Amino acid sequence: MPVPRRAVCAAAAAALLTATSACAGASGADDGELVVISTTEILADLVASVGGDRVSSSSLVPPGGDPHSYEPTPADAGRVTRADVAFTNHLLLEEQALIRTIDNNLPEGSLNVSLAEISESYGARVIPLVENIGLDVLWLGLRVRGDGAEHGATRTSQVELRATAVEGPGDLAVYLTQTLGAPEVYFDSATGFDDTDLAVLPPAAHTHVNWAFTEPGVYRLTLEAALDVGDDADPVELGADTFTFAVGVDPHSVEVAGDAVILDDGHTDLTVDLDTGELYAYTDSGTTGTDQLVVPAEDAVIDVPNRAREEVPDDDRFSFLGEPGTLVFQLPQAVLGKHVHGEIDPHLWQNVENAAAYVQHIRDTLIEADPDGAETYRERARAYLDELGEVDDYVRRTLAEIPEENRQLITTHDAFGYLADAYDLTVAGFVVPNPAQEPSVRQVNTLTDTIRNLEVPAVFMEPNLVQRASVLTQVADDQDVEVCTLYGDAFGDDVDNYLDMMRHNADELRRCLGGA
Amino acid sequence: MAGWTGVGLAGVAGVLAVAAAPVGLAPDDPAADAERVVIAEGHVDIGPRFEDGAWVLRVRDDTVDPPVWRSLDDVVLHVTDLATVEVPEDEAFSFLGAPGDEVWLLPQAQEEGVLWPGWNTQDTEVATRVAREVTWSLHAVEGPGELALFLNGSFGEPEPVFDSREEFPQTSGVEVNTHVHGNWAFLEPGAYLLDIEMSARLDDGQQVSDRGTLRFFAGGGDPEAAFDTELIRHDPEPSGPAPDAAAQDPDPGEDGSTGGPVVLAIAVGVAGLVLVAVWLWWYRRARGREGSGHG
Repeated sequence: MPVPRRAVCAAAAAALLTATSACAGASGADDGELVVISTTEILADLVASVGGDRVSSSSLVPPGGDPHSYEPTPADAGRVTRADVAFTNHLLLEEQALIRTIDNNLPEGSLNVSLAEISESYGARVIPLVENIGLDVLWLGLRVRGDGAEHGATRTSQVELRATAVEGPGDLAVYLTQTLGAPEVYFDSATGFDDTDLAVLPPAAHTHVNWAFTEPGVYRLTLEAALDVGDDADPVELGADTFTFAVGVDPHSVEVAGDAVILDDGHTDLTVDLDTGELYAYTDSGTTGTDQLVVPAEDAVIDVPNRAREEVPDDDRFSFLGEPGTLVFQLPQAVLGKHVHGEIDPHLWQNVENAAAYVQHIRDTLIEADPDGAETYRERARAYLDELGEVDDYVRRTLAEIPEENRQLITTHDAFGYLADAYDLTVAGFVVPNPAQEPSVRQVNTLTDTIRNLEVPAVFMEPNLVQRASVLTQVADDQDVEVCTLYGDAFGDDVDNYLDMMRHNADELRRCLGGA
Repeated sequence: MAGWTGVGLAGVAGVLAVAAAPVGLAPDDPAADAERVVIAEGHVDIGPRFEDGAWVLRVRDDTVDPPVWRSLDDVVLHVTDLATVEVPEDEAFSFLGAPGDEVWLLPQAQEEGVLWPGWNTQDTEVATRVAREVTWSLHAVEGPGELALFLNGSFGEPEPVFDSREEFPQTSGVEVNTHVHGNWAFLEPGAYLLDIEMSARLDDGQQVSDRGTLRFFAGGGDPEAAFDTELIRHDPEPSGPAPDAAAQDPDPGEDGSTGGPVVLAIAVGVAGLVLVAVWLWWYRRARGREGSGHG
């Protein structure tokens, strides 16, 4: 039984370098170059930078195309059959048909490498895919610390936490929804604060609650704590303090009495300390393991962002929040489910250090496919990694010039999580998570409110998604903010390589968001 | 072809592992003389930690001061009659039974007098070495009724994590450095055994995993009974240390009672060898076919 020549060639190529050129020649490519196919032009550019003349590098998605929606053609399949190496990003970046085209047509023995996941072992920093950005917020609860022994507290004592005053543009409700769906309201300013605006906790307890606000703006909530040791004794007054919430507005713009510490991720409890009598925020934001930090009440700015909006359900038990369908800003009692198990954000290259991990992975793959070129690949990769280092510095320096309160990113799709994570920006919003989706009315309204509430000077459109950017440009026009360009998944008129793309993005962000 | 080879190897490895446990020497079990406890109140967490460099699944018991990490086999979590609730008239909760039915439910928010079990990935070494998240798998549930573990959305809507009526294994992600509580519902009273596993990929690429049996007892009756029940695994996983009497007793066959497991183990071992032989034969044949192609 004859074995297809392609299979023999490829198998031999893996073992013997000399066979590489022979095989490539036999299958139609000339010059004995290593034929490398990538899904996107960004990957193809990284490959070309490492491979130089030894490699023929091209992408399946045409220049300016969208990998999320590009459907491969029969000609693409033909090109894959002639490839010695195929690079995909994977992690659901590319349309599944594109991945299948490669998996089904790549000759046996050719190398099929998906860069994103394995690049972690080259030091790439990977972030989980956010499924529900409404849950990608601070998890805020109530807590009691210390044993209160000096006040005569025992295990059966109770700590009473009262809301006594709130200043702000709207109302505030703090409540816990029980297992079977019934809410237990602790504080509700809509009916005025009185003796019933009370949360009771045992010592050393903590609980998670919902924090709902009806209007955007700054709220200042005063809480008072007392210890009830039982035995008919009068409660021991512990202390009182005021916490500040930035609801829908930029937390950097909010003034507090102390040195502002913005609490916007992780788990934080507004805490009564039985031993010191103080109230403070106790947070694991920015810490590791079970370490938690004390943030004094006068320093804390609690961020309730625009993405944390919920519709009041059509259920009488929740009528204290407003009419059904009304949008409230809400920090939820549970932030689970914000990530999809096992899925990570595919747009790794928006962090230049991740592109460096890709490059090392590409270098090692090319060496495996073409060991004779090892020295060339190593040298070229070394030089290119130096350039990446310079660009990384450039992006960091440039974005640092943007005033902190303006580092808000509003884009056509959710492609810039890595850029924000690496260079200290905030993803304030996007039209839709994936460009292949159509925005709902609610998504458009949320976008409008986000732009208005944050007073952002500009929003960003990806040039390859112009035809899908009508919603963004319309909303920006209505709100009278500038529309600028950021390159996400593809190059365009102004840039045709990765280094220029990242420099362009940094320059554009600084120009449009008001750099120094 | 490669796929078939893989399956063959995995099967052989699994069978050999089963054979190895009984015929090996006495298992080194540091937790063997740890005290067994029934916990019916207060806070506990299930979670992975590193002990002497090894990834192990434990119950962190916060009901004692200072807290201790216990082996799963040493703990029964008791869902007392204080934790009974009636299923509400709400379609969203019909997975708990008919409205008015009584179920045993440990709520996700702390309730006085009722056990509050959560799960955490906050062991310092776990929090610093794991890449992103821990995978929590449920392989099987044995008990007198169904079990559901679920969370609540802000407005109460139930969000399932595990349900014994769904296909196994079921998996859920636990982000690193987090601590979570959910609602544990047991639809009938009695002993429940959960075959659970927590696994993760470390920053250095290494895969780690540990698996064990988590025991609950719902309702009145003797919760200690849950200790005496062994989970029957439906896949080739060692089901715990085998009796080692045979290795110590020079004449195990005297009363015939201790010989059983060893005989069984040998039988399994032989089956494993047969599998190896079959696989080798098949592999050679496959290679031979491939070779003839070259000619």
